[in-house]
Amino acid sequence: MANVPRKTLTRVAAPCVACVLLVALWQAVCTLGLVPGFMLPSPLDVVGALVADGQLLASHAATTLSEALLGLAAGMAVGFGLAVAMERFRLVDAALGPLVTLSQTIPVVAVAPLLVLWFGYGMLPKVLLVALTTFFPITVALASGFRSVDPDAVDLLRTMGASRWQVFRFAKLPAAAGSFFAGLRISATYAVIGAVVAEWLGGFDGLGVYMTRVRKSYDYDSMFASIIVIAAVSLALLAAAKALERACMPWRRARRSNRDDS
Amino acid sequence: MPSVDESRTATPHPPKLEVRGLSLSWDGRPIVADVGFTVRSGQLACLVGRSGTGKTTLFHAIAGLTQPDSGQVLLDGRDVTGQPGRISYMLQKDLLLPEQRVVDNVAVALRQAGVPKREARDRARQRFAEFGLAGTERLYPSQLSGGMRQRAALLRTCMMDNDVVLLDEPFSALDALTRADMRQWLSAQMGRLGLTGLLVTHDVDEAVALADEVLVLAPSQSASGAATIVGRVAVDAPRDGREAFMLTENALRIKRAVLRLLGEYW
Repeated sequence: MANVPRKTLTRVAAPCVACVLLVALWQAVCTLGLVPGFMLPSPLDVVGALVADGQLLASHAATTLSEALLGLAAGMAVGFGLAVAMERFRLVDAALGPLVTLSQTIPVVAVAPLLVLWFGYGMLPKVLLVALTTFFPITVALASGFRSVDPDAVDLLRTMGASRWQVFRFAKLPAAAGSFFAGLRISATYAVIGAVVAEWLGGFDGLGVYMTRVRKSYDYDSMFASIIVIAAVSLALLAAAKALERACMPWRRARRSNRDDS
Repeated sequence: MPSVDESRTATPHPPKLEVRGLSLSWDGRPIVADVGFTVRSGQLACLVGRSGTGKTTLFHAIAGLTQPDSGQVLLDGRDVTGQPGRISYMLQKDLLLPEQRVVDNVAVALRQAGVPKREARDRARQRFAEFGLAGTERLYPSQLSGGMRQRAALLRTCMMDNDVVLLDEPFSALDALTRADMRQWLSAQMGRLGLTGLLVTHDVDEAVALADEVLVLAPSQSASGAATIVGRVAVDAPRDGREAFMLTENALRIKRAVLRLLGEYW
């Protein structure tokens, strides 16, 4: 620990202290009775609900997480395919570019009930909604990543006799890796929210369904408990995306270690 | 040094790279017109011109990356106009791919030719010591110094089995001392490998310090203002030991002739 740089310590300690202070303030407001208990449960009540409903919450969270993961995977596949097609064929870019943007202006709360109407109360409409919200950041990030390639690097590969595919494989794809993961991080945070919204609007299982139930029974302790679980699941997904990024981009770490040496 | 001149005429260099009547335009505006010259086998020619005279455009065409409006590029007498892959190209940016280890960067040309990854790596690795790069195989380009990166870039170029190399201001990104070292090193390596080179630069000193012949590219007197070769100056000195040569009256005379052709001396 003695070797941990001060900056790192500050980065970890500062948000922790801020969180603790915020929770303490919240507890004080509730304990002093400044806000009635039925309107704002105290942190202790929330923790109580979290423990009491733990098993139920875990099973709902598992449903939500699998929807988010499947949706994210589908969104990634679509986003990737679309970006590659738009990069390769100018016509596809011209034809679909505006539509892709338009798809993001549609309110999720309007689409979700329609998806439920078309595909039932099962998992499919949730996965589709998550895919719909997650493909966009990936497409946009990849498209700009492909454009960021150094045209001289492309020329150099061509003087080596590289084909179009080889230029893509050796120059454009690696150049877009950083952007891709930036997009994936955004999509990962959208994924869980997307799944919860879809469940909220119709389903049998999942944190969104749980939330509608406890809300209807004015059980706000459990409501807050589910918010904490949703945040935790989102953060876990984000951490997974970051881990994947680190594993896929070893050259980034090399750069960092080099900088430390000099 | 007359003895050197004699040895040179005694072993005639056959023409390696021939450019004939090359004309190029950009957006309908002529950039270079009727450029013609020959580089003989094993020689290093320097193309000197001010910034913006179309040196890089000309290089793209010679490398086969663009189709010229008219004219031909001949390699060993065969027409290679508009065909990339026959003539190697090195730029001032080393353009090592940051995502690939040095060994894979060097092997990248072989990979383009369809050589499997493992074999390409093995063949690349065998030549690391020869280029002073031993021990850097597993590193990433960001972990190398500027001079090392340029060496890796030259090794990558040499993996292509092409014997003509175009060098587009390959040292302009390096600091002055490294640049001087790299010049000498490059000149020696090219001699050792029997490469024929065409180097473009706006630095007259660099041209005189490296070239067997200096070609001067400047706007022609014609109405279009397109650049062409306005003259050529032979450098009658051996390629090694140029630092000493640069201090002689003879070098100054050559430099003066080049500057006069560029219109920068009166």
